[in-house]
Amino acid sequence: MGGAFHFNFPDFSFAFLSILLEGVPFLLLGTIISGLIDQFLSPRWMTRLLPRNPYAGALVSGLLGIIFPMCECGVVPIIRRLMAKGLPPANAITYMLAAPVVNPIVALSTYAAFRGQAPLDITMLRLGVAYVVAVVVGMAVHNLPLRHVLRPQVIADIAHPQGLAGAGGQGGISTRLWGALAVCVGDFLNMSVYFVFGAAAAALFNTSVNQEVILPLAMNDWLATGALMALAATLCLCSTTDAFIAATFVMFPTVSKLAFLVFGPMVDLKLILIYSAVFRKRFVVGLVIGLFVLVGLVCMRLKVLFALSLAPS
Amino acid sequence: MNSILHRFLTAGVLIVWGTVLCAMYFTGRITAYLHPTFQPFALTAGCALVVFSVLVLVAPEIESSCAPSSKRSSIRGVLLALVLVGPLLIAFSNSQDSFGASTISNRTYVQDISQLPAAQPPAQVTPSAPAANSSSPAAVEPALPDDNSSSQTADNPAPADQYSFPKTARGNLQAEVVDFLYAAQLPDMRAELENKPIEVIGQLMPAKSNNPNGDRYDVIRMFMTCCAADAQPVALPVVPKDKPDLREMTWVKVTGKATFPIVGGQRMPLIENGVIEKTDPPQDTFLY
Repeated sequence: MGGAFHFNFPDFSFAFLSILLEGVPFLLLGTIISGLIDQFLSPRWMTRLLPRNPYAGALVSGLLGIIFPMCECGVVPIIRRLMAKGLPPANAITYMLAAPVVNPIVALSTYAAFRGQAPLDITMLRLGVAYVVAVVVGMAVHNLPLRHVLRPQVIADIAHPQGLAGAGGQGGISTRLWGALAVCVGDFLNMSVYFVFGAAAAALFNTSVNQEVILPLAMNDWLATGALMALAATLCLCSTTDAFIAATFVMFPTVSKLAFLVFGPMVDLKLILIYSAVFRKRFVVGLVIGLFVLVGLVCMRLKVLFALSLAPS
Repeated sequence: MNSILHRFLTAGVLIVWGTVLCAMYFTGRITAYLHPTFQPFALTAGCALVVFSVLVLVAPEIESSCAPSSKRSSIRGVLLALVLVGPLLIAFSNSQDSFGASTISNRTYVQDISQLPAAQPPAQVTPSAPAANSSSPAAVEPALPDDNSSSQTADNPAPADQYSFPKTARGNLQAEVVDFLYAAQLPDMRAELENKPIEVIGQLMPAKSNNPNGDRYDVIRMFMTCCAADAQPVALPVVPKDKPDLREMTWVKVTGKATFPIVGGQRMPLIENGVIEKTDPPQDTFLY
């Protein structure tokens, strides 16, 4: 004890199991919705709902979380299914990044967690920055060839929706429900593999790394922002509750807490692995680095524009 | 054959996950893992997974996109099932439902209530309400502001015991670790505890700070926001009457005098002349 790293297997098991217990219900919910979308959503529905202009589509997709709120664990199987239903990948990625933050549940939890620490400002900034970042990333992805973004199997699903279990919109209700179950179970098992590895990585960090090692970083805005984004990626918190953790970092500057709140629901260890089920590895690496830089820069820029407190809150 | 194997593997994985989730809930182990808000979600998911596993077995038309079509994919299916079931069962059987000393040491101790915004202060008591009703003051919802509270005058003074700290048979005030952190910031609450005999339960650790001679200890309780992975140790410093011969993380009952000295310009709780005795863990080992 007392060093920077100390592994204890029972403690690791305890943290690992707690992350699984917390995340599995949301992952299951996401895959159930994914199965229902597959069987009951017409492929033309998405193209009718969203503007034809891809940039306008990204702007609207970033707000879909207000109507269809979903946490980060469950959103990936949904966007995979939505892409197979005709949602352009750029819009799907915008929804994937924005929905876990830009939704009423997260707004309320952030406001509640930051009571006494300018809750309205933090809540508005969190939702606003997440929306802007998601739209910017979505628009950037629109200019990339699909083969650089999606895994070959996902591209095949988009090109030939019948390759998925049930193309949707066909057969009676019972047939569709059985099909939805097949899709749900298949997605749940696929995503769970990545979730298990992500939870293990998060539990390892959570129990083995001395968290006081990162405290000296709080003295510098840039270092503090980078450190809290890295911490958000390793803690793998749920977006509906991470504000309660962020609010406890009283010695960290406000900008760094904002970066934690925006970056965490977009990138964490388990999400990186879950993203790998849909996106190419090189794209995932680029997405993580791009989001790290973009969120960091936007938050630091906001510090200048809105004179966010440099001192600890 | 591949199809039958795949169907049984899928159902097997689902039923193992569902059973673990349900078992955690019905055995009560889940209270150490999840905040009460999330516990029904885990039960619901567990039941759904068990139902799905049965449906996968009985459904005549289930054709999954990942259904194996070759020997190689059957091997992949078996490996997938092992990856999904193995770590879960290993963790389920090895977890001790609590953290050890090394993990506690790796986390930053909370010694200032502003670092714990998710916590709720203990209940205030109205003049007509009995003070010693609750055995767990921190678990009581805080009283709502009373419209008539501003009308208290010299003829109708505020009650002497504003906070509901129950007393033990020996006359000690029973409080939770987190209550002392609140009391350091709330003068009314501090007045109820300061220089009075108190009793508090927690886990024993050597003090991390303000301990130059190595003779101070911290009484620790873990405060959970969502799940055990995010739990933070809340620490109450104790100057013991006699050095305890107990292992780290032993559950202890500390009786002593509550004080609130100013350290480094900040008022901090401190139990002086503390008698530290081994005790059984409380029913809820975590604070929420």
